[in-house]
Amino acid sequence: MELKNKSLIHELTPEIVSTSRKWYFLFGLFVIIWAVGIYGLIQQIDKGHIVTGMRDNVVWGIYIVNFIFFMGLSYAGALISGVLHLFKSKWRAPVIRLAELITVISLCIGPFFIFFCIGRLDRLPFLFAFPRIQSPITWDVIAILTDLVGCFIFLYLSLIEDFAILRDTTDINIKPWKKKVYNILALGYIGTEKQYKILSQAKNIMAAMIIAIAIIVYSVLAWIFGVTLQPGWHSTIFGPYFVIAAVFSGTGLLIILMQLFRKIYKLEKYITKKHFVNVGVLLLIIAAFYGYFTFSDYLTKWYGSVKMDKILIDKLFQDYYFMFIFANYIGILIPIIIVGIPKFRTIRNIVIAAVIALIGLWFNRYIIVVPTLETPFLPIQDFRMDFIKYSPTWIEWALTAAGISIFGIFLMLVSKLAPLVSISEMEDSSGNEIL
Amino acid sequence: MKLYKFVVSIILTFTCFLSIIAQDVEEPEILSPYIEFKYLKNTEEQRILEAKIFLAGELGLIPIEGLPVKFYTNLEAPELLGDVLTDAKGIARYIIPGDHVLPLDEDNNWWFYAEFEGNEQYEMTMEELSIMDVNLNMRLDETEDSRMIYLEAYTIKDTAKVPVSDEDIYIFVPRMFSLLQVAEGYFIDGEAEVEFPDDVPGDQEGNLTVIGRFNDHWQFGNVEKRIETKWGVPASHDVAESHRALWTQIAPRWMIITLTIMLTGVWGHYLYAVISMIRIKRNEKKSK
Repeated sequence: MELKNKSLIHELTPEIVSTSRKWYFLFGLFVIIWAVGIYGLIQQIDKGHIVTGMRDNVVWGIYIVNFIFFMGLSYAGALISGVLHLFKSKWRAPVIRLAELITVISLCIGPFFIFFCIGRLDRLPFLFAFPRIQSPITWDVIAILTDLVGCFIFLYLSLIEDFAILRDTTDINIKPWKKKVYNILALGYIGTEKQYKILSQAKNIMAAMIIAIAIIVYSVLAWIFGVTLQPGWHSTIFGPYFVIAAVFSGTGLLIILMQLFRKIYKLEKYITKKHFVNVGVLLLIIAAFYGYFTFSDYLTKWYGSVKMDKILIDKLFQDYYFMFIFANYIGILIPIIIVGIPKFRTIRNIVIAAVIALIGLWFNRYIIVVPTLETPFLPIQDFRMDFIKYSPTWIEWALTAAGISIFGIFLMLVSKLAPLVSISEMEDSSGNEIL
Repeated sequence: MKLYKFVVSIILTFTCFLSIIAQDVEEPEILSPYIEFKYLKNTEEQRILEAKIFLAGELGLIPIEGLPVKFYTNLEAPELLGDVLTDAKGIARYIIPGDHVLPLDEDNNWWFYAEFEGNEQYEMTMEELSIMDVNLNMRLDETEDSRMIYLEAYTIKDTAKVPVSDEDIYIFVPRMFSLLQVAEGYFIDGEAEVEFPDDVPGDQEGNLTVIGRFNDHWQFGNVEKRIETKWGVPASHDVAESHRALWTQIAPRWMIITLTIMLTGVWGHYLYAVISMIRIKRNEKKSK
């Protein structure tokens, strides 16, 4: 496959050809953080879950918060990439690959936090050996596996053209072993009209599929909470609320990654302010929806004045005041103000708004999971202090940081084999004034 | 340099927020615990002193583990009986040795007190109680139409038996979390008769433990006798099978159908995508 715009291949494949010092620096940083997490995990396996802050009441701590958070990022990536692909947005080319990668990498990392949470990992195979289809946990396992396969297929389909370009190019110096890999991965794609048609159809179908799957799968995750009668969880709007929250966090992460890779790979020419504003407007719209769902959820719980809901809301405004205000006020209003007022719409401000949104969403997951478990229906009696009040230990924080670092490691490893901005999409859209 | 600044500022922002929620920035505060002090003379005639130390929280009583509790007798010239740490349930339990002669006051009472001396976290707390030693005997008798419990209670004063009168006695059976009161009686001249109800569930064979007990009595504390008997109604744990309910082995039919349709639809499209890849590969060969 030949490229019309030869400069694209030089500018979008810096790490495939050679490895920069920045790459080594960041990779080393991530590996160190990951190693600390692994040390924490060894401690946990050796000494048991007593080294975490989890006890009889709060059996789900920040591991589950991270699981929901990463899965949310993944579904958001799927929704964003699927929608951008299906609606053929003119400005999608530089960001769609990042959204696809967010999907797959987050989906690979998220379930590990479930494994960290399980006390008897040796019983995990029973879930597959003796599944009960009526169990929401079984739904979740099926849903995540289905989503993972679907997202891999979609990512792979979108990479085929780039693999073919990298296989055939002579403009850059690619190592022979990589050429062989590209030759296998490109599936013999040479850009014939028929091949293009087949590939486009497959991508369109998979784009539609992953949108549907992302919505269903994240709803299933929400139903794991919603179908219980726990205060704060038993809510009919948890499905759509989780989906909106997921897209909100995923959009925030997309903006942060756009800025990171724009700077790292000097992609200022391709990822411009217009892209930040467009994704920022998406963040604004979703922030408004997310705020609406949050308000609806808490209003109905507060107005109902059910005893345990009342205790829970009081707890949120007292023990979790900072997190509650950050997640539900600052995390929503700041992105709306920054993106909503044209004067504030600079790249830096939009990135700040995205960081705030992302932290707010993590806090949101925390105040959904932990305070509810600290407020059981049966009165807590004869329990120790650490059984009543959950406080994560350094091991849980280390594994959380390891999760973030492994995200970076995966992304950087992918950058050694595949372009993080789609060359074929950029080539296709080069006449469409996307920049 | 801008990149490094950006990365560092993001890491610092995360670290800052994580550290805020990781720390409980609270001024050290000395808390005031409560103490609950009880005496129990059990069916083996052991005399047990039990102190429970706890905080009163919004959601209930929060026991405090690892506090040293000292048990004393004789208020006028305190004699240390023992020193015990509270367990996970906040309970410190001391068994008075059977041969230990406890001093009596002029009213024929023993005096005890339990004390936690306080530390940098909790204030000192103590509680005292006086106990008159009572001897309780219990026997069960079953006739054709009734099940009777006969109880005898007396105290000793100057080596003479003094029958207990005008006092209530309660009949309990142990259940999962606590004792369930099933009957009560009244002592007259040291004797009480109580009819045991015929509808109390036992185990699968009807076994249960009957407990006659002075329960938190103002003068005697807790004094009990236990006897195992077959007076319970045999319990059946057979659960009626609910066909295709959520909790049964087989999932509801609607759920199986819905999931089958959804999964077939999704995986069918995956199959289509994989077939498309194969077609792309084949098309290359044809083009050559």
